[in-house]
Amino acid sequence: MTLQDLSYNEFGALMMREGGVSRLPLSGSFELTFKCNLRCVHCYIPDYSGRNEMSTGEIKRILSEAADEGCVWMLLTGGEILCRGDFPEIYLHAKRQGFLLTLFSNGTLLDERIADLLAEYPPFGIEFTLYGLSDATYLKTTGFPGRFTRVRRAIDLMLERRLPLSLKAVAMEPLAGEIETMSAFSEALGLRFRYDAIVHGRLDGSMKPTDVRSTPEKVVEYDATDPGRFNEWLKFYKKFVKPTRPTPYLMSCGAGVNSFHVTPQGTLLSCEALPLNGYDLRGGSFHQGWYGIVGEIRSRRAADFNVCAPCELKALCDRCPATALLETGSPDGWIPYYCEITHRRAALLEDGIGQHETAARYRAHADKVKSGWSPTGAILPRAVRLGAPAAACGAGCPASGCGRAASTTAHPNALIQIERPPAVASGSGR
Amino acid sequence: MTPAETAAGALRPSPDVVARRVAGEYLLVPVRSGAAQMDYIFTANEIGSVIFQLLDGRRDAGEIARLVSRQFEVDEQRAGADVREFLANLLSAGLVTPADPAVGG
Repeated sequence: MTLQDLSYNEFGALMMREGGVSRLPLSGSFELTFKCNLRCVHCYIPDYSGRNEMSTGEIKRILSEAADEGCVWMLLTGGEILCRGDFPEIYLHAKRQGFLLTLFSNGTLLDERIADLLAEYPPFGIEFTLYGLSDATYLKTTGFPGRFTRVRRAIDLMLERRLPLSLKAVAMEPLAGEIETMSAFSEALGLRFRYDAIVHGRLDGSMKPTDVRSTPEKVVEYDATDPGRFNEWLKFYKKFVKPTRPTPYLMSCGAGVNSFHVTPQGTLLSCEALPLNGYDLRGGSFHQGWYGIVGEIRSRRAADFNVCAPCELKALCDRCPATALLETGSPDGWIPYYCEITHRRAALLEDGIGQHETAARYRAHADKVKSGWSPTGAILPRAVRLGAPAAACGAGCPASGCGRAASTTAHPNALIQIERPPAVASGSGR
Repeated sequence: MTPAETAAGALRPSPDVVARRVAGEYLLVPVRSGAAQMDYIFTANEIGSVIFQLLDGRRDAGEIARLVSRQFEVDEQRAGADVREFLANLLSAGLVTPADPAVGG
């Protein structure tokens, strides 16, 4: 009869082992609002008005119900969470449910009052997204002057209170050349820093945000020139990518199995960016939604024209049903941008383990994608849905449809016309 | 009063600790800086969870040991030693407080 204290990893493994079998909603993200005080160039949110968003009481009720169903990890995000005047009340309520709470914020509205609240009731983690390291860069990336000065002050408030802050950034084109500087800045402060290159289309279907994407070559250059990052990728690659674990199902991540998302308008989803099988929590309970329609997404099979389903690099790719839906209008769609990054990244990693022939195959595939090739029958992004696609890339790579022609020639228009609810969020990197 | 003596008296759960059962595990999650050790999440086994739920600010370690002994069919003397050890651990982690605020830990 003892009281145990576990390492975080042990605890996580224990929860996943026990909760995984019974499909408990262990991990959730909750978008408190789409309101934001910044207008970032890459943002996926089309409407910052806060229209039809949930009340304080509705949010508190849903947090309580999620806790009752077994949620342990809860992320509060936005929009900008501090645009809600009731944030302290919501936060304290979430703390009182016993969640391990993480907060995502841009940091520009965080003042001493909020810092003191967080010091008294510490979150499990806080992440600020950096959009540069100067007011001049922030003006270009967020549309407002003086914002880096505010973030810098907020970082100090967190450091003074020894709060578990980490920093992150989107490796998009306007920040090219500053990612390394941000990394050094974070390291000098003793803060963890991470970044990814994921930029989605906007929720209203506009692909405007993707204008600021870094090129696939640049994205993989980050991996190649940062030894720590390279080693993390290599570890991931060895553990989760090879050997390939084929599945006939649409979903291959944990969404809807042990994780969920709640939108500012109260829609329960399996994933923040996948507005399929949503459940209106304003009209029913978390239990009803989770064990009802939300879970049914897991039994949906990949369509015949889903050329990514048999891809051996699927686990390495940022293309998923959610990103595909945002970019192509179909969860089974193909995204050349991610396909090229994935194959260039895999080539880098194969070279790293001495498999140069495999690396060459992957690199050849990436070059074909770059040249405009697309797999037969694949649903393409709205921006590049042009002309007749080629049949095979010719590089002999079994990934991304090279080894599998689509078994139907009928274009599944019915699936493209999926109406998005206004409450859908974009994903974040791994 | 020594910590052991304090642990033998009536205790109640700290108001700043949330007790939850998730995936068959009994979790004790400190939520507020101060008394509890914020850097940890605690789990208790089945008997530990029963003891924690018996802490109502009135029962002392002896009474809890008797109840545990009956419920789990274990020797009362052995149960008493285990209960006192467990309560001392809870107290030192800041997960419980003395029912009488005048009693120090």
